[in-house]
Formats: sequence, structure tokens, C-alpha cells
Amino acid sequence: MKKSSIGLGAFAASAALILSACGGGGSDDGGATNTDGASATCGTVRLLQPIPESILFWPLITSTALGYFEDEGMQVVLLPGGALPETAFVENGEADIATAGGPEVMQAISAGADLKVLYDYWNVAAEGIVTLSSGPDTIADVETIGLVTDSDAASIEIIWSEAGLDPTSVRTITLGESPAVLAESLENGTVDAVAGAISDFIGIQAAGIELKEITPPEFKSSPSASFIVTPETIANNGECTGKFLRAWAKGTYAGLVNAEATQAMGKAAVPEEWIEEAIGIASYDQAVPPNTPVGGVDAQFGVVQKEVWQAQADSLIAIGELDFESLDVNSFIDEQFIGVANDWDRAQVKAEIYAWAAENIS
Amino acid sequence: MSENIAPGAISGTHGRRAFIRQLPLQLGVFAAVIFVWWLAADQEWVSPRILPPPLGVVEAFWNLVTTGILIDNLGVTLWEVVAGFVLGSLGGFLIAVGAAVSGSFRQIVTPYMVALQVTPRVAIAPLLFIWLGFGATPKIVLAATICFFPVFINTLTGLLIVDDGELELFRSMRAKRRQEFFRLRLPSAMPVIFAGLKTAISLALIGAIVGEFVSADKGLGLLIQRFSFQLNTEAAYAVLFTLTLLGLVLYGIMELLDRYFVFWTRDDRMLRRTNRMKMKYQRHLAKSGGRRTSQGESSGLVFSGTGSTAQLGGNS
Repeated sequence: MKKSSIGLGAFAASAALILSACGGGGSDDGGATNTDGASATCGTVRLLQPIPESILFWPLITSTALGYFEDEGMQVVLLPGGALPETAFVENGEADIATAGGPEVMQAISAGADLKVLYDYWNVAAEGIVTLSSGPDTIADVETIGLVTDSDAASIEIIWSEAGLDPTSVRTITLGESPAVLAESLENGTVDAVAGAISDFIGIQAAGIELKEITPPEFKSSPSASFIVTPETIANNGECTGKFLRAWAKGTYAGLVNAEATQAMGKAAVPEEWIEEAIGIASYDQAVPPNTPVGGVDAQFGVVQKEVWQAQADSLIAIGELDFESLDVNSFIDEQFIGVANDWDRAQVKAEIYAWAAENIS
Repeated sequence: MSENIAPGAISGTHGRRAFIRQLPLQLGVFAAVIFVWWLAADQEWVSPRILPPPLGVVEAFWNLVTTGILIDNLGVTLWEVVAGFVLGSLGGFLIAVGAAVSGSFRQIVTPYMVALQVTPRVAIAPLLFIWLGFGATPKIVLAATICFFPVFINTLTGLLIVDDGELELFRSMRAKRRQEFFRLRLPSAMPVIFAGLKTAISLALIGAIVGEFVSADKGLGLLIQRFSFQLNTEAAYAVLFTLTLLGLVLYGIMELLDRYFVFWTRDDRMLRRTNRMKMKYQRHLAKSGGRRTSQGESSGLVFSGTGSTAQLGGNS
């Protein structure tokens, strides 16, 4: 009996250790390495984005699968930021480049951070306001709104103020991130609308609920994810920064011109996102508008919408979110890499993703 | 000899018999829970978005297993839990030993230990990522800080609370401080230390999951988040039950280690160990032609039933 219990214990302990050793290395390197065998002239680029690898941010997936990062002589390591402040990690050197939204960038600058905005990646706001298809048609008719996080309260204040409405006229309830709770709250009338991000709305739609977006267009046009770096990165690794942005732009374009291949790449890279295929496809569809350049798919990628940034800065100052009398966005926007980021042949990229599809999709 | 076993000791044989006796009842309760769950989902007493049917969860679990997604992510979480547990427990144990040995050290460190314990770890989780970067390290450290305290406080309590009579016996026999520690304080503290370790292993799991909720590229916490965002409730429940199962397995391993190392709290294990030592002694006597040697006289057969005293005379 003694032997059997010791044996059982030893077996269980061994199994635990072996299992942990098998999977343990996965995240030990700080994230997913997305290119193998690069010529490494630029070495490893640590990219911080707010979510783990996902079809929502497909350029990482497509550029990796098509070898664009490798072509530029770099390996990209993804650092999933989650709810962490991206600006802090760029500042402390943990990340070489990060995607961050306008308010976060300007709040960091207001707090003394020295950051440069290089490239607008998501060209429309990731946040928005949705209601049931039978719900109110405009924000003026919304009496109670559910917030996914407390930070959405600032967006509500900006949206209501910009629309000439009194922000205190709408009652806000923080519902949390669970799409189940958001869906229930909308359906049972606890709230008239929900303010959140695209990823939150995908979950609600996955429940079969038809949504209607009532975000005012002037707010919707705000870029929600832009690439930021420190001035030191530009000074020391400017060439590689341009190369990274070029690979990113090529991946973005590839994803726009061939949805089927992009989805197949996403499925291979992040299978857990595609357990329900419809959700994976819905996520891709939701990511198309923000990934499309402001002037359309044939326009330049990454152009920083200075006037939108300036309007956002003025709004943030007006509601007291920024500790400035005024803020000139030209002081932190640096567009020197837009040219190199767009220095590639669209026909060739299109041919490459179609060739990939022919080879990998039966 | 069994009458010398400490009162309240648990018999392993009795425990097994009781378990077998209670098994039908336990299975019945389990079946009833599943039935009520199924009924609640089937009748939609609770929205299926919140409570999916049990069969859907089983299907989702099987799908996650066959696609390799679950194992892949389980390994990452398990690594964080085990590494965090080892780090936190070892730290808690060593600091507690220092605090037990030195009163002034105890006075210095205890407020910091309590301060660490009362600080909500969820609040410091983002800071850990800023300080330690990404990857497994901040999650391991988070798990370690959460599981640290129960081991620290239990070890300290166990080492400080010693039976006065046994302590007097040691001192009357002029035991050195080292002997007093290793032969009396540590063995008598072992049951309490293991109670702390069992609590710690469960907390380490919570710490790792909290860390994965903050930032992760793999892990069961990330899977729960992904599936929750997608409203794939069946898959989220499947991962949740995997976590529960993982917690139970880890707790079970600690329970087995407890049974092995703290053998004197269970009379069947104590008897077996005593018989083994008796046979060893008899073999030794046979080898030496029946002469009682000084080594044989101190072979550990003299004990009063508590772990500490049993070890006192032993040659272990």
C-alpha cells in the first residue's frame, strides 16, 4: 500500500512537472515569436499591442506568414499589453514599438512622457456605442448607458459634449467585460445602449443579437491605435522602424485584398479564436474598416490624421483630462516614416497572398 | 504500540473505508448537481449565455482536448503555478525559519509580511508587469506573492508553538539549538506547515490566472478571457472546469506529500514505519549475533507517539 501511494504521488508529481515543462517554455520568452530564421539585421522587435495575437490585428499574422518581417531582417516578438498602459512600456524600454490610442498617448505626454506618434494603424475608433436594432437611433435618446470599463466614461463625456448634449443627462452603469452580461442588460432593458470596444460587440453579436451603432461619425473617425516609439528609438533604430512599418503596411494590404487567405492564416496562428468559425469571420469583418486607410484600400497606409488628433486633444483639454492650456499635436507626431512604409509594390503583395492561398487552401 | 499514537490521528485504512462507504452518496450528490444544472439549462431558468448545458460543456472540453489547445495552454499555466508555488513557499518557509530563530528578525519582518498580505495583489499585478516585463516571470512572481503568506505564517506558528514538556525534555538532555530545531521544532511544525502548503498551492493557481488576465499570450486564464469575449460559454466553462481539476490534482499531490512526510499523524503509516524499523533492527541484531549495540539501542524504537519524540531517539 505504501509503495502504491508513494508511486501514485511520484507519478502525479512527475506528470505535473513533465506537463509544465512541455508547455512552460511557451510564454517564457515574453510572447509569441512570429518569424523564424530571420537574417536578423534588425534583430528582434518587441511589439506591444493591447490584445494577444488575434485576427483583429491581422497584419502581424499576415506579415509573418508571408515572410515580410523576415524580408526586412527582423523577428517580431508580440507583447500582449491587455489592460496595461502601453506608453509606460515604450518609455521604460520593455517594448520597442507599441500601438496606443490617442487619449492614452496624450495623457502620457501630459504626464511628461517623451513619445512620438509615427503611424495611424486603426484609422477609426475601436470604441463606440451600440444599441439593439430596435433601440434608440441617436445618442440624444439614450437615457441609460452601460460601460464595459470605467475608462469608457471619459469617451462618453467627450461624445456627449461634442454632440452639444449634457453628459450628466445620461446615466452610466459599469457592466464589466462579460458579453453575456452586456447582452442580457441590453435585452432586459437595464441599459438602452452599451459603450465599449469592437471586441465587446463581437461577443454580443455572437449571441445572435442584432446591434445598431449610434456612435456619432465625428467620434468614430478618431484613430484608435497608432504606432508610438521614443525619440531614442528613432535616433538609434530609425531604419529598422521604417522597415517594420513597411512590413506592417504590406501585411495590412494583404489582409484587405484576400479575406479567405487572411482568415486561413489567422486560423493557423490562433486556432482558439476559430473554435466557432462564425466568430472568427465576424472578428475579421469587424477589423476591416479600422484597417482600411482613410482614403480607401489604395490610399497610403499609416498617414496620421493630424486634424482628428488635434480635435481630440482640444476635447480632452476642454474636459480637463489633459493638463495643458493647449497642445499642438505637431510636437509629437512624426511622419518621416510614412514614405518608406508605403514604398512597396501593391501588385506584388497581392500576387504573394494569392500564391499563398493557392498553395495552402485546398 | 498503536495506543501510543497521538489522539485524533487519522487512520488511512479507516479513511479509505469511510471513502468507499461514502462513495455512492458522493456520486449521488454529483449526479444530482449535474441533473439540476441540466434542468436549469434545459428549462432556461438561467440564460444559456450564462449557464450552458452540461453536454455542451463536455463537447467543448473534448474539442479543446482533441485540437491540442487545452494541453498547450494548460502546460503554460501549470508552469507558472508550480514555479510560483516553489518560489513563494520556499521564500515563506525560509523567512519564517529566520523569524522563528531570531526574535529581532521576527519583529522587523512581520509587519512587512502582513503588509504584503493585506495589499490586494490584483492592484499590484500591472505594476509587476512594468517592473518585470512580459512573459512568465511576472505571473510566477504574482503567484509567489499570493502563496507566500500562508506558508510563512503557518511555518512561524508551527515553529513557535512547541509542547512545553518536550521542550523541557530536550533542554534537560542539553540538546543544542540546532538539535532542538531539527529534532523538535521542525517535526512538530510539519503538520501545520503542510496545511499552509496546501492552502498555498490553491492560491498559486489563483495568482497565475490573475496574471494571465492582465497580460498573456498563452494560458488557461487567457483562454477563459478569449472564450468569454466570444460568448463561447461552453468553451469558457470547459476551461474553468479544467482549472478546477488542475487545482484538485495539485491539492491531491500536496495531500500525498503530506501523508508521506508527516507520517506520524496517521496511525497506519506510523505502524508500517515502526514495523519497518523493527525489522531493520532485527536484521541488525541477527547480523551482530544478537548483541545489542549502542546503535541498535538508539534505532528509533523509543517514542511517545508524537512525531517529534519519535524522531528524537532515531538515527535518521
